[in-house]
Amino acid sequence: MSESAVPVAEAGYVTGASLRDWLMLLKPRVITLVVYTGAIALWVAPGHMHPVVAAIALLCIAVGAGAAGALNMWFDRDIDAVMRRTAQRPIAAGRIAPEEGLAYGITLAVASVLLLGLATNAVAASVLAISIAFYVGIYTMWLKRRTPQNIVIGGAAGAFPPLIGWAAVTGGTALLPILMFAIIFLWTPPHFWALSLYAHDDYKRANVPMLPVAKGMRHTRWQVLIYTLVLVAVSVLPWVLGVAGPIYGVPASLLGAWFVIDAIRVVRDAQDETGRSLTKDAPARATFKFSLLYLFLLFGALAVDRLGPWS
Amino acid sequence: MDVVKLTPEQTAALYKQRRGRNLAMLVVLVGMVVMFFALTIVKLSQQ
Repeated sequence: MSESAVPVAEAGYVTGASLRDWLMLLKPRVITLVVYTGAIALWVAPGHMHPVVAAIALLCIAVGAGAAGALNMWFDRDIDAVMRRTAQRPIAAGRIAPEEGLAYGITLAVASVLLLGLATNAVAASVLAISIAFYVGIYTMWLKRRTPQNIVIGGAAGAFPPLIGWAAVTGGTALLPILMFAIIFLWTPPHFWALSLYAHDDYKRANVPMLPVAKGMRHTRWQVLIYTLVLVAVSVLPWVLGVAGPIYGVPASLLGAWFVIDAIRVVRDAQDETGRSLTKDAPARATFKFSLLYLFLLFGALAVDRLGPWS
Repeated sequence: MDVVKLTPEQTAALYKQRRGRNLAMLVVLVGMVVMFFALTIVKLSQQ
């Protein structure tokens, strides 16, 4: 094969822009959580939805979340490039041109909202549009670089899928999806602050005012515990208020107790005078991992509870 | 327009990646046709 000449802009592909890069731009790990919580809401919502429509609704939620992730990577490409955890993201690493990432994100965002509106209803489509705008506009562009409370408010963006799923089935909202929203909203800070305790050097390098960087690690440890306590209190409300039964309530209580014990271990971790861990952040790492399992099992219990005679 | 010279190996890699992207786009487009067809059938059957 002979030598050929291509535009400079396209030459980047030669060094690695693959199909996988385009998929990674959608933050597939985040999508897993979003689809899961959205699917649980579709399942527990009263009423019937045709499986084809339900599958399309989930696809729209996934693509909408992916679009928000792509727009986040487009806007944050400068700080992603200096953080070890994110330096290999496709735009930050230079494998996808920023303007292509932007166009990709906008196209998928608009397409997912329009398709959800066509397949289900305008309420669900509107909530999806709000969630994308919230994640990109409020969290990524406004709060992330300005306040250590970025995760608290930004966490709301990831909490929208239950509202979207419920609205897709019923055309409105109710107490249960609002509580599901509140649970994910309150789960996000201890989840991310546990991570930030052992990834704070990355955030410091990128000048992102994550809580351990802005307020110190000791303060962050206490915030993990406080938010976990509030989360656990809210997580049992569906049972207390009668919108879920004991199949949800009992596991929610046990999982909550476990989460609180983990958070206490984070506070009591052996540390120096600045709060830096002397155990390589073993409790924070364990809490981060458990927080993922916690949400998975909590929402799983809610799905199983739906099968109970009290539903 | 600024251009860069590619070696034969880079040219082959470029063609391979173009082919991969084109195939992915084909899958997406066919998937969308199937999805809109299925959605239309479901919506019509529910009326």
